[in-house]
Amino acid sequence: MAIRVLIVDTKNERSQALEQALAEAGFDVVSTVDEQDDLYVTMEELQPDAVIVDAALPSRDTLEHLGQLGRRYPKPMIMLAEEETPDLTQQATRAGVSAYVVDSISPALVRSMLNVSISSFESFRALKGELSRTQETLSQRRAIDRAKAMIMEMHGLGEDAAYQYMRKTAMNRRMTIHELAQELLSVTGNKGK
Amino acid sequence: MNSTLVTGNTCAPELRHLTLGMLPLNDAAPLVVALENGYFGDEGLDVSLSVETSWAGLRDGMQLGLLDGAQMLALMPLASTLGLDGRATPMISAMTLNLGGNAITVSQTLYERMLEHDPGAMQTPVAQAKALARVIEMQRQTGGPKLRFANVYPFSSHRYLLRYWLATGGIDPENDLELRVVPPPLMAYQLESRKLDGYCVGEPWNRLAASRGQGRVLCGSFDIWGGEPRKNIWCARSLGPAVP
Repeated sequence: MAIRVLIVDTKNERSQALEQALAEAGFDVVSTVDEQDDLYVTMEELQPDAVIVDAALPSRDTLEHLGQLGRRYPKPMIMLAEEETPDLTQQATRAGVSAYVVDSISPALVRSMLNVSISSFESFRALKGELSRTQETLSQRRAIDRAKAMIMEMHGLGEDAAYQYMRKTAMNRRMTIHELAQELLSVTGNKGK
Repeated sequence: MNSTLVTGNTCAPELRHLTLGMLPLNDAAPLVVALENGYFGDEGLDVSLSVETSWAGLRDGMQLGLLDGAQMLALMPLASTLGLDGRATPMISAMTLNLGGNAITVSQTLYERMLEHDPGAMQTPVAQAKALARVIEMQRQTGGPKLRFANVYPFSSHRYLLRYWLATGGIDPENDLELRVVPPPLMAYQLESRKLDGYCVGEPWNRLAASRGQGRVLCGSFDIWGGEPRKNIWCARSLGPAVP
């Protein structure tokens, strides 16, 4: 019988990807809930064998209490009787994954479930990181363009000449072109972005 | 044998780089002030603070060795040392951060029902607990659902304060009502939306419910247990003998 997993996460995109990845690995995701859900009711109704929870959620403390209530509730990973996975637990903690599992799941299945979850969380984070870098580059690009347009207007320069002028000034002042552009824009009251 | 470096009249610390865990609560203030004002640096320590979001997260950090010390609920390290909470990990207390500071709050509705049963007896914690016992009895006779109270963590003084207070009114905390653990930031909201009838928590979550007219603060923890230790800084015992 497939292991029944409950996901507690507030990030929609991530939990959808995790749900899919777990399903592909042969787990049965019974539900995905967020912070506002009544975990006492959810756990009672769905009786999952395992819970994967975003380690950054304060609701973890509610799961701790449930784990204390009796055998049928999943226990925190760190409490597993058969703990042959201290490295995995550390790795999961670093990736922001917390897991609660019932005693009866085999260590191999716990490992597999955790590996899937960790890599899902990590690829989500990598994706977000890339996006914010791209956005930053874009907004830098815009600031530089605005500053360049300003110089073209003020000094009657062509586009290339204005850019060369900015590059030279930035080099002389040991700053990046973006920093120079920002300074120019803020001095002239022309907000960047 | 380790030789101890002596510089001037102070000893250099055995461990210089420390990661301390904390939750963003009022009682983490000493750690934050020490960091911001450079007090750690004055003692030759290079400290980074790791802000967590749950007590379970701090426990994991301590037990996995990711944290060298942490602000914790006073009962957590005892439970950890005894192997009741997670992996058995001996810990020792470095200092007590504060005493008391918790309170018991009930919903406005429950407060009014308690008053109905005993209009004059809301003056002392014991009288309040007795009034609550009457509400519970009435609820049972009419077949209503059990009242629901919350605290912050299974191993917290909040839980025992609440249970002790309930017991003074003759209420059996195991059977006469439902005790839950709810993260403090969600408590006032759950009181408003009637998922909870009362709770024991630190500030600002008591005053918040009161200021919104949704809850009444019955008694402070000092009235129940004078000077109860609330939060301590704990470190792994493995550090203990080596780090005075």
